[in-house]
Amino acid sequence: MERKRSRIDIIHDMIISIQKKGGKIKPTHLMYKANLSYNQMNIYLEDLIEKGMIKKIEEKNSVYFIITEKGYDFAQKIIEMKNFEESFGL
Amino acid sequence: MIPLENSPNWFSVPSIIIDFFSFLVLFSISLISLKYYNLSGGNKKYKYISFAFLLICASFFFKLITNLALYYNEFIRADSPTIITDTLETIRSYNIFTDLTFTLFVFLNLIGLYFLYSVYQEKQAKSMMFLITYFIIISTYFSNLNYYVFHITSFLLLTIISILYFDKYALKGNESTKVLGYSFSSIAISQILFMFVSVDKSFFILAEIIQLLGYLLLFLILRNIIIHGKKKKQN
Repeated sequence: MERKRSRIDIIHDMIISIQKKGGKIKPTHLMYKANLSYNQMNIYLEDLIEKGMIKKIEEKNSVYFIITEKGYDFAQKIIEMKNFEESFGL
Repeated sequence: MIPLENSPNWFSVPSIIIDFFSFLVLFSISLISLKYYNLSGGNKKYKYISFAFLLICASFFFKLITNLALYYNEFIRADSPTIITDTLETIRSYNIFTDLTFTLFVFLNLIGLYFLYSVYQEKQAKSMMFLITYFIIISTYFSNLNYYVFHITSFLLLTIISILYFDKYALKGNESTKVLGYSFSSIAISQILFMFVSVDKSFFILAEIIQLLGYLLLFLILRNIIIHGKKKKQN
């Protein structure tokens, strides 16, 4: 049975999804790629925007989310942490 | 009896350097794990791993102090005939000091290894934990009488931890976990070789080199974790 994702797991999945899309993603894509409900996504997005890790922009009448430098640094730390977790079998 | 006493004279300084390197690797793992504990918002497993490595790291601190005191006493003070300090009192206080630091080394090392093993045991009865802690205290006491006891106990704990990592590798297939298994296996093998130092001094050199190999592998895992993270960021 798959274990429930923690808050940090969800943030990790969101940031990785944006990174895979070249650092810029539409909300609907983010929702599917990070496997989140609409409400869940909004809660996490609000938090990440408030912390300056993600920015909301508008281009050609569409809304996009981009990762900031702070977001990239945070993503790196999470990836390191995940690698540590997998290496040590935690 | 303390292993450095069985080291060839020329190998005393390299041996201290190897222990210092091991100390730094253990301290780095403890520090990084603590950083991830804060980052994860309080995942207790990171805290326990950090504490286990901190205990082993602290044990190496006392091993270093013991060996530095031995080195000073055997090679530096002995070579200074102008300084006559060898009164009965200083020898006695020196012996008490090295006995104490050696005891702390043995106890912290064994309890640290047991704590590391416990991190992976989801359900462990408290009575069992008390019992094993009691046996570790007994082992520490007997290690002071005969250092073989320490190396046998340490070998057993390290072997169990190695098997645990190899089992995890078989389950998840993460290459770093396999390297971690090899790392702890190397350190376990070094414990066996340390037991033969009274037969031939070259066993001491071999044991130290194999121990160094184990800690080098641990260092490589740590390096890969950080480098891999940076690569992913660039991608």
